[in-house]
Amino acid sequence: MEPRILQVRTKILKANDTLARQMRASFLSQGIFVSNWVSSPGSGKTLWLERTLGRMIQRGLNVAAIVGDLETDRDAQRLRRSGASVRQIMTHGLCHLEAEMVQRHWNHWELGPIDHLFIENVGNLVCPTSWDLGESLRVGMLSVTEGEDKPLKYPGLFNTCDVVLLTKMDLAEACEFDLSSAVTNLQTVRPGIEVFETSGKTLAGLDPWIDWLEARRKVILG
Amino acid sequence: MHELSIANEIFKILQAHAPQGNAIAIGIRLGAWSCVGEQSLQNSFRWVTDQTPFCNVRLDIERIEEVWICKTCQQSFDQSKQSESDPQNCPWCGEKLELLDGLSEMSVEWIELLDQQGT
Repeated sequence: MEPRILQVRTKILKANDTLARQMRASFLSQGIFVSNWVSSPGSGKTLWLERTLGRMIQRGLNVAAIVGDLETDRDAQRLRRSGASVRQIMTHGLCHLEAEMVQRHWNHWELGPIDHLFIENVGNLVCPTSWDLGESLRVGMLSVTEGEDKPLKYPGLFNTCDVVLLTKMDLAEACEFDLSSAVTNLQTVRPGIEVFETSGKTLAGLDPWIDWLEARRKVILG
Repeated sequence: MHELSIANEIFKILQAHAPQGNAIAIGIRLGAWSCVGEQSLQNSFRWVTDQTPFCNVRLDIERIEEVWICKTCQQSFDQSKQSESDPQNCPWCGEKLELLDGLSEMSVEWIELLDQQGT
């Protein structure tokens, strides 16, 4: 018996990446702009998504959402208040969503034409980092209550984001949140990243955010 | 515990490249920002290969460390050479450092196989 080295050089998540690429192409060919929302638990993802869905529906856009949690469909119930179609993925312990989970739900969903599909990932600043879900945009969220140094503590996740929403800005003063430092930290781990200041309570930043999303959708879809 | 999902993917790659179960080691590269815990991945790999022909396969992990570059000085720095008080700026000229890419990499690089002589 003789040992030999077989050069492999393949991505560990190649199967997920390949499926995600196929899904992205399929979504875009149907005119659907998909965004994947990532953040820590409690950062305000669900509230901001509820606001986003509601305002988009007011503007006449067709929207839907898939939300991931370990247990319960509480977030899906909250998001349905906006009037949007929503599916809940319960991972039963798994700390992130994978492309196959999204595909499984998408394939069994009878929907009309959709402009935006939002995927709210499991709240976690580590595990969702490496899984492409077929999105065209990755949205990171950072609440002022978490502290401005989170991007430096979790560079892997923030580095994969295309845009970051600073949430709960109505609490910034009470938390002594250093906005300038937060933006600098984000720019360090992801140079050139877009940053929005938002509040789900006061709705500050909602319309500029939706204008930006719409502009982005039109650029990506041509 | 996303390391379990990653270990499962490594196992599938192992099965595809060594269907006869003749692998003795597998080498992977993990970027510093890949968010993978090495010990957790080792434990997960042991768990997914348990009671399979690959139960004794060694998992070799090579880490790709953070490398920062100063475009002004044309120098690169690893974390140990950066200033603790000012880690985002060049310790020589003070200009802002930029990160080298590839930190999120997760790849299987090689598999060591034990072949029958003459095959």
